[in-house]
Amino acid sequence: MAKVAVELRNVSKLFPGPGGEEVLAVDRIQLNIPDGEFFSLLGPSGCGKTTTLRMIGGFEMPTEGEIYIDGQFQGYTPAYRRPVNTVFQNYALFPHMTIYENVAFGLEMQKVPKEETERRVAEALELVQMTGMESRKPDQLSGGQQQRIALARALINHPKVLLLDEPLGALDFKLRKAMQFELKELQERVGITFVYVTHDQEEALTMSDRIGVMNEGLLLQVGSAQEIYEAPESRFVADFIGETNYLEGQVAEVRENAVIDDYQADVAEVVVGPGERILAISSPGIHPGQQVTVAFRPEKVRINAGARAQEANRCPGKVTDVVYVGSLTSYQVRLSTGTDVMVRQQNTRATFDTAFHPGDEVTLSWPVVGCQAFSEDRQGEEAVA
Amino acid sequence: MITALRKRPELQGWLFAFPAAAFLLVFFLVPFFIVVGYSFAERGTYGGVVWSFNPGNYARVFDPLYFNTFLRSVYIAGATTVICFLLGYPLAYFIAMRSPERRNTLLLALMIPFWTNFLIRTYAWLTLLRTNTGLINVTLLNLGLISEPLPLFGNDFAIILGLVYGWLPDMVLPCFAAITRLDRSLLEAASDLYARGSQVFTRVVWPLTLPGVVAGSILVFIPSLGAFITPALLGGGRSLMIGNVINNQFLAAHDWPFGAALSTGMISIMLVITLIYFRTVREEAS
Repeated sequence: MAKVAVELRNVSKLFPGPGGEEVLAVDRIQLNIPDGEFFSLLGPSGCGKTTTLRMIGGFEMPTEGEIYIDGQFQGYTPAYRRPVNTVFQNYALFPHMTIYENVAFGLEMQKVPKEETERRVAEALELVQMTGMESRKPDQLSGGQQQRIALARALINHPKVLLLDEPLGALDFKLRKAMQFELKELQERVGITFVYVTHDQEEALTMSDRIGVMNEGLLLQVGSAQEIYEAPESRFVADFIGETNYLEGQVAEVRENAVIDDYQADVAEVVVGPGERILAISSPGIHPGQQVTVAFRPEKVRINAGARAQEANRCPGKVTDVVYVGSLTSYQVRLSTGTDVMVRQQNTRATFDTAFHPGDEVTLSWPVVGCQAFSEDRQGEEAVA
Repeated sequence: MITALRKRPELQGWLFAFPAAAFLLVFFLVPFFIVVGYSFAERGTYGGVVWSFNPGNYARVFDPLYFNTFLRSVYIAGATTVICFLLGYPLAYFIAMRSPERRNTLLLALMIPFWTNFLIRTYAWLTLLRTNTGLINVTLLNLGLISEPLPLFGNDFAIILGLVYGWLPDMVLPCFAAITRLDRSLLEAASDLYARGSQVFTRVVWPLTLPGVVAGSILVFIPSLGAFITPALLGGGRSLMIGNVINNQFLAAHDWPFGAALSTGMISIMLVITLIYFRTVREEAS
């Protein structure tokens, strides 16, 4: 097993609220981040992701629980004695210092000899392609350039873990895209563990080895981009990352370790309407008789004329809305159970008409893998990484 | 005229500046040049001003009798400024680090004493500090803690105390403004980059709040240098500052030209200091 760079054991953080009552910003988080991983904390604003990052950095102390960095218990260790560095949301470059002085600051504080400092500053600037900017002041640089300097200023110290707090938040769309790839590539090159905080689901999916989704102080699910997207274990995670269709129903049967489409998993058979049964991958803890939600992505659904359909899951319905959006066509279909379902069909061939029209009787079909059943009260439990 | 302004929008700004500019021109700049003019004139036999070119007034400014008062005034104003800084900067830092609602309450508390007239507040110090009848010495004598009254009044100590009391908020406010403007993430960034508390202060907080300190120092130093109520009351008629000498030249000695020369000298010192300030701020900004 790989070495653990960051470990959070049952970490909680209480803040004094405005009315005197206390606010639980982070709620009993358990997390292991292996050495060299690009790990993202993803969630809406106020979900506790930044507070979690700040606790790792030593800017906030946990109310309860323990934080280990590189195997060392941190306790109340102040930020300046932790083997981590941070890239701040607004870069926080020192405005009164030159780029050289900014990048060299950490080494200067550690009393690194002058020649070594010069060499490492040159290396760090080369790493972020900012060579030649040494004598400029931060306000003479563009947002993207400041971003690179903030990275260089942190990486020059060879931290065990680099913490990044929405570092691309202030950049425009095109630059963000470019920087996403650059950051990922940089992380692979230097091999340092990155803990990356973002509210942008696409950013998290593109860059991360693993993602932790947070809401209301809880770490809901930890997994790879595919696991988070294809097998969300709660309605929040399914909703937060991409669009999702939901069907409500009762579990009739759980088949443990069933093999479906070369994939082995627990499969739940869910009754979603009179005579309508859906097979779905079962989240941990689902048992027969339970009320569950079945979630599946619009692009996984195939729309078929009449009653013909191939996939395991089928459901008849009527087209209610059609929106042509160029690369794909989006249909809204009302199922016989009364639920509205979104269907996205890739327009692989050029036609000047859509395949179906409002009022058409169709059958929707979708595979079992990618169709996830979870219980609504899953929200309140904590995920274990 | 409106059409002319529409054609040349850059003139619109001047329109807004006009009332204040005209006021300052008539009631400040013109009198200033009159004073400079007087400083080269001659005293009439019974006071008044006789126009002539007489640089001798300036030679008299360097007479040790007056020049030493000049130096002492610079010393008193300087000491006032330093003490105001030593008291004011930590206070400004404390206030700036509170929550926004708390800050307003504390700033209000700082300003409340200044709702009372300055003269009355200076008289209040008189009743506290006076050598034989002042509250402090009487109390200490009665308690038997001292056998001789302490020299609290009629000296530089009393003047500096009065000036610090009067001008402390002028130091606190610009320092406060500079410290609140300071981006807190810069402090975190410094501490993230292995700077200890004292290093965070000397490397980040201090250089970035220096313009506020310089502004506060000017706001304290200039009125302290020209002070005359405080030394007149708390100096006990023995310890004088240049403001009192100027006052005497105009109102007692009726030597307006020499009083004007002393004024011009004082204004020159202030001008030099203000220029140093602007240069410092500009260097910080670039």
